Amino acid sequence: MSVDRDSKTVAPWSDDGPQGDGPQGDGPQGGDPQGGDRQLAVDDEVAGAPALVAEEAEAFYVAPNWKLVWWRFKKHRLALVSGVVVIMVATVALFPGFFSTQDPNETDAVKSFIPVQRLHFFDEGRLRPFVYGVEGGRNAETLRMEWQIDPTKKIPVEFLAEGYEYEILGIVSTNVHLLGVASSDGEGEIYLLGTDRLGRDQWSRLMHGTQVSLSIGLVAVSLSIFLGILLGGISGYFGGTVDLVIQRLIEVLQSLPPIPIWMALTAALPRTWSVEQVYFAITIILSLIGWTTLAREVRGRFLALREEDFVVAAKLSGCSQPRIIFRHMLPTFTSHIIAASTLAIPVMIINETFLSFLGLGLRPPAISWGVLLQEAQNLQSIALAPWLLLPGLAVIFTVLALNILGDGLRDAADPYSQ
Amino acid sequence: MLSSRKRSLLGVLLVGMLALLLVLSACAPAATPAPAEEEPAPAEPAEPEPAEPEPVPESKYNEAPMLAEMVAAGELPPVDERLPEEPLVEEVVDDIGQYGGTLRRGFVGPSDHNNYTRVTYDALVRHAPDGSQVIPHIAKGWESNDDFTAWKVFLREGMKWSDGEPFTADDILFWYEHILLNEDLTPTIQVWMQNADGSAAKVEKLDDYTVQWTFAQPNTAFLLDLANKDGADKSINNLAFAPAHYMQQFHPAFVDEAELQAKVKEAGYETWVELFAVEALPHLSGKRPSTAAWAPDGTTVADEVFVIKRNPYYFAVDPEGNQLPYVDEVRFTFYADKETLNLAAVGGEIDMQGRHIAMGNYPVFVENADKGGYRVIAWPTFGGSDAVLMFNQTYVNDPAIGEMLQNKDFRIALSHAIDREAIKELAFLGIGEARQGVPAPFHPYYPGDEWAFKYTEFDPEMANKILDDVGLTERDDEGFRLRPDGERLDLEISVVPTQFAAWPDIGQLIVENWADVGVRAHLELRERTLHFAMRDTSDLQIEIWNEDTTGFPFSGQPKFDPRSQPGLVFAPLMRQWINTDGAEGIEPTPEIQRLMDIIDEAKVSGRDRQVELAQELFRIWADNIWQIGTVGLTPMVQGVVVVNEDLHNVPEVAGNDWPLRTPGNTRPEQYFYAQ
Repeated sequence: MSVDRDSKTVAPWSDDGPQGDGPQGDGPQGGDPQGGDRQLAVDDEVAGAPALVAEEAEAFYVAPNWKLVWWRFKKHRLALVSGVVVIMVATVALFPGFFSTQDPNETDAVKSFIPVQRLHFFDEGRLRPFVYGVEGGRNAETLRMEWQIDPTKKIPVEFLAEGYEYEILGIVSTNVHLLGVASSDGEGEIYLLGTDRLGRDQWSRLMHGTQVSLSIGLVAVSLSIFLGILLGGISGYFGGTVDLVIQRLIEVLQSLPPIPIWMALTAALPRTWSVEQVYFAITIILSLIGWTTLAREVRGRFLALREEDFVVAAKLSGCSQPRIIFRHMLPTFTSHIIAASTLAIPVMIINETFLSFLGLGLRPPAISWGVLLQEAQNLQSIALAPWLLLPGLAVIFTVLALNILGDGLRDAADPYSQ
Repeated sequence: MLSSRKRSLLGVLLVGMLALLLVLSACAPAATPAPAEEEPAPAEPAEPEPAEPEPVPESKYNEAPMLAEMVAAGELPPVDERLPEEPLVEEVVDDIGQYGGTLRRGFVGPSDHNNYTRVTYDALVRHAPDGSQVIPHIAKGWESNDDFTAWKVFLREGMKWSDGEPFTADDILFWYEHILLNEDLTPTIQVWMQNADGSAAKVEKLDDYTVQWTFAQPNTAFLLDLANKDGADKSINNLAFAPAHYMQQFHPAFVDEAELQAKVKEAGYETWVELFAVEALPHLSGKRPSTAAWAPDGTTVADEVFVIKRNPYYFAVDPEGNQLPYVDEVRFTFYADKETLNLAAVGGEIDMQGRHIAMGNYPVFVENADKGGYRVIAWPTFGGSDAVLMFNQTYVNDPAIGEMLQNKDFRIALSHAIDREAIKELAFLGIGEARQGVPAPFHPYYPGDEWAFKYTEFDPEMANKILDDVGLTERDDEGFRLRPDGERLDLEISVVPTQFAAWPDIGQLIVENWADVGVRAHLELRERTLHFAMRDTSDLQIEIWNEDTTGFPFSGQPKFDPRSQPGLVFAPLMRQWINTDGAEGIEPTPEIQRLMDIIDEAKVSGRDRQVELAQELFRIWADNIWQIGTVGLTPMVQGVVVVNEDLHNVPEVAGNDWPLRTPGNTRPEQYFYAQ
């Protein structure tokens, strides 16, 4: 470990090369023979190639902060994978309609509780995706909807298929979906995650729920960050009575048990409010209590930086206070803020999910992960349609990915720290 | 660095816990029934001895072994002395039973007091199991004069309270003089005890076992009302008798004021009225003597486990002279929520219950019946419709909407726009029939198919045409119809999410159906109390509820009578108009006035005329479609009944309605466990 660290002190980019193959993170093996040679040289004879080292060391010393963070972050493979997962989930959140196969609110009387349908990619050895059709009906004795796969009926599936009409980001109207029934005959439908008690497609509902749940997390965290930086900055920069008041406020807020407070606040939301109003109210409630930790961190940073030479220099040069704060001090710990907020998002998502799960957060017809889980919270779903619990997996994976990503970002946030 | 790692670990832990939770909840149903299999059927009767009579030759009647022991030990008088001279002989459903066992039920807390009321159904007279007539119970009979103004009620000589004190006419007189006529206990006299001028009807004691009610006007609904005076809704207003010997100690007419005040203080109440209201009902008091088959053993509905035990003085026997009840005790166990109660029922931990059993779980119950050791019975509702849309006829908050709600053609169009087959499939497991809120076909009040199915066929084209004719021709860019003032017509449907009905789902389907004909509506899920308050103040536009009063349009609080409170949001401001003698509110329309006239006339008419009037009432009701019915005759309301496979004499067919106190009307005292 110590050897590694020593070599890093000399050439911390040794894994990847400072020429930075860019965010692909290919490393030196990326095909550039020169890079490969240089890598060898660095690894094998660090001391024996002073010219090269000097050149790269210079690149290291002149590299901007974000580049250093990126180099370091790239080494955290798990975080990198998590980053990809998060980007995928975020894409779904941006374009849920595109990833849906059916209208998430469309009910169908005779299609309730269809189990998960497996997507087959190869048909008789050729890449020709399809699903088997299902047939079934109500068992006359138990009154349960029972479904069997019909192996004689293959429903061809194609990419970029035409389906129901939806709007992209509320602007463009289209009917193209990532996946859909090949429109040749228009027969049959696909239910990748089965259907719920009203015959609604669970997969499409999950896609739309992703948008709501993730955006609540993001918006709530953004609000928290805004409040945290503002109040933490004021507190740390000015000090004195302002600091005292804000710090006591933070202490009071942090000493309140958050779960009962959220429950009380959401329970106090007027039941006459529309779904959209509730959505925004919950976002605000979540962020109102979430800003305190970040404010503490920001304050600490400000307190430490206040006395630094470059701040004093800026002051003596006659910079205005906003310029000192926003141009000189804030950029030195932006990476920390990003890391902290990445870690805060999953907490917000969990909070939304459990509030909705308890019936205190979003309510149908809104679709969120919490709402989906809440609808699955009954004997009928658990016993007869366990696939309705699958949104729980989406929560687990997303929250896990965001946590690992945040962890990696935080480790990378200060590239000079060892 | 260390602390930050700790925090990320915490994050991972959190996720792990969530995952665990989900996995656990997914496993729960599979895991729960298993232990029940191993358990030695917990409902096994305590006494394995058959009910063969103890050889006491001079006794006319038989009794439970546990009571026989007490008699032998001198703790209890012999059964012949405990029973009245003419005990009630109750028919059994299938077989003469055997004594013993505990009937386990679940309840969801003090607010679930009617769980007790429905099991004991302790009234002077009862509704028959099929709900077709009133039958004797505590009272052995009755007699009215020719014009139905005076009713004699005959009691059973020698009948006793559960503590052995005699039950006589004085117990009814105590109720009349000291509860009904006491202004502190009864600020306003119930409608059933009122004369036409609002004064109280007269109750007098003719002899120790005969009481006479005298009204200023004919009253043909008397027995129907009397059949529900069993302390329901934990209200002393729903009594018609009380144990005078016990209640006197809490009443200022019999006790010195200081002494009473001390008792009130000691019990932790403010006024004697509060104490009295609790002590007047067995399931609140725990000690108050009862005439029901089982009396509380000191526990109350506020306890985690509420037990009612065999009443040794119960006045009924089976046809072979065995004193009822067969089952030793009924044990109500508290469940924090209805989902856990359902889960317990799947696991076979409940012996006989329809209350809180969700109809949507029917498949789960049937599939696990063998494992759980129970069978599932369906008792469809007694008539009406299990999800109706009630249109407020006096909505004034938004005159444009109020006007549409009052427009009959508009309502007809909306009725034709509803796909009832889909609702039946999705919310009622495919059972029941599309119908309006009128009685069941087997009921004498049934107005005929033409009216039961009026406006129920799914015909969006016709709906569109009627809506166009009504004048809603303009549409906005989303295809929704505009009101005359150019705004989009947007109706609100208020729904209370309840355990027993999938009303929110039904509402969702109706919203979609209406959107297809260009009528925009949105659901508002409201908390029960808020919904009720808005109902009373006429702030609801449309509500979803069930129509379950069709069997009893002339007693209680029928939903087609705008004066009923609680009722549906039919015409709250017309009720106000009536209550304030026209000073406030809105004057009833001729059609609605006719409904009230019919109800008033039926209350003073004989049976044949009542049937005629009821049919007319339901024809008006269906024709005016103030209430759009969807699907009815399903076991939605407490009609999916889980019954221990060893429990006998639970009928496969029975009337199911709140006035019948189901399962009280099926006579739980003759249920028994096979040995």
